[in-house]
Amino acid sequence: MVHLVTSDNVEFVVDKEVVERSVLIKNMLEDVGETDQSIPLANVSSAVLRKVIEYCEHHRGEPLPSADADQNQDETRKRTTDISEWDQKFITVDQEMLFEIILAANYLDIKSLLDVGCKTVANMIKGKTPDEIRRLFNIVNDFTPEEEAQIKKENEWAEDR
Amino acid sequence: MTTTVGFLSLPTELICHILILLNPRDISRCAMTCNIFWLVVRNSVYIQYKLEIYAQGLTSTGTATMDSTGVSRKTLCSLKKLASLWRSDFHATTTFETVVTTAAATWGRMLRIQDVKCGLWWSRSLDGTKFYIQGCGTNPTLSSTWSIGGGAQGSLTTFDPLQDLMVVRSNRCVTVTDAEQDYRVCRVEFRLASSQRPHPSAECTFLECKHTFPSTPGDYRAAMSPPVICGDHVFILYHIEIMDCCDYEHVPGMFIQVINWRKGYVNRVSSLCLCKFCYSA
Repeated sequence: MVHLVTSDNVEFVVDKEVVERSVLIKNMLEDVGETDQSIPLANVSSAVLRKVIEYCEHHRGEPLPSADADQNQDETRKRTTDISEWDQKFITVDQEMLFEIILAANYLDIKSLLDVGCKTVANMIKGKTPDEIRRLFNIVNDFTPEEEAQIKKENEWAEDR
Repeated sequence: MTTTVGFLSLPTELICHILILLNPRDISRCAMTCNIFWLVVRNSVYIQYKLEIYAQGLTSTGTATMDSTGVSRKTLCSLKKLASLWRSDFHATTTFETVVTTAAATWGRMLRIQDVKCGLWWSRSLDGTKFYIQGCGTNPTLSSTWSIGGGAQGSLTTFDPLQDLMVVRSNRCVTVTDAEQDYRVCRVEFRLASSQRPHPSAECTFLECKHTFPSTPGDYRAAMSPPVICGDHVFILYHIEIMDCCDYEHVPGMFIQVINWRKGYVNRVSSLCLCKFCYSA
């Protein structure tokens, strides 16, 4: 069992097999060896870690993508925005949690979870106008009117097909 | 001030990671939302590369799927190589100087290089009946020779090896006298470069490009550039000369015709007229 301590000082005790889906922790454990000391995760809150562990538990035992993943495999992964049913349900969270999960997955180096998060965001953007995207993600339009006109012009090519 | 985590709290590489999943149209729409996205799109070689392939007309129209690039593996390979060359200092440090020695006697009767694109250059023989395409590598080998048939002799021709497209533009314009105004017509054909057959992606095998000229006294002539292919579009620059009947004064002007060869329509985009008739008007 591995002890993890979150940024808000909550301790989690997790199966080694489960927690090793995180490449960061896997490497840490390999470096340190067997230890009872808890691993501090200063960038991850307990609410987020709970979700991350839920994901790792569900995918326990699935083969990890090898470090030198085949280029082709990498490309198919990048291209498709399909998400499995369980993952889809899992990632149906509010936006803040979604981005927290993406950040945590990136930090903990859990490739498959990072992909699920990124694909979800990509799917949210698909087919929306710039205004709709701004509203969706609470983005402030910080272009000057001149810049905006220029950018609109430069991007016309994408619209006329 | 809240410290809510949102899209823009992600580090640049993660924003990039998400945007690359989108199709070019969605990417460009994201780029239009704010400065952060705009810069991410601008500065990512991968995204720019994806947009470039799209702009070159190599991707399908980008319905929800992003898996089909519609490019053969081989083409994609050479494009990727090209992309990596751009990323390195290749272009800044390489001297493009290769002495081409060719055994074939026909090479002696070659016009200047017509164009260079995607690591290939092409040219036609002096008698205008053959096309040559060759790689730009250090050891140039003749990759293709094509005979030009079907009335392309004496016409201006351009290639796009990536799209297997050959655009043939007739050398002469036919003047058509209409009730309202005279106009001239030049004929532009779209063929498969490799087989000379009509290009299957083109809406029509040829287009008649009309252009009108000002109703001024004197002799009107239009010199046209060879067609230039850029993705879905073909550009032709018209240089107009009006020979004044009395003093042989040249009064130039120019405009650009943009042809969408896939959809088969012509636009006259911009016109720059330097002639004195316009000044006085």
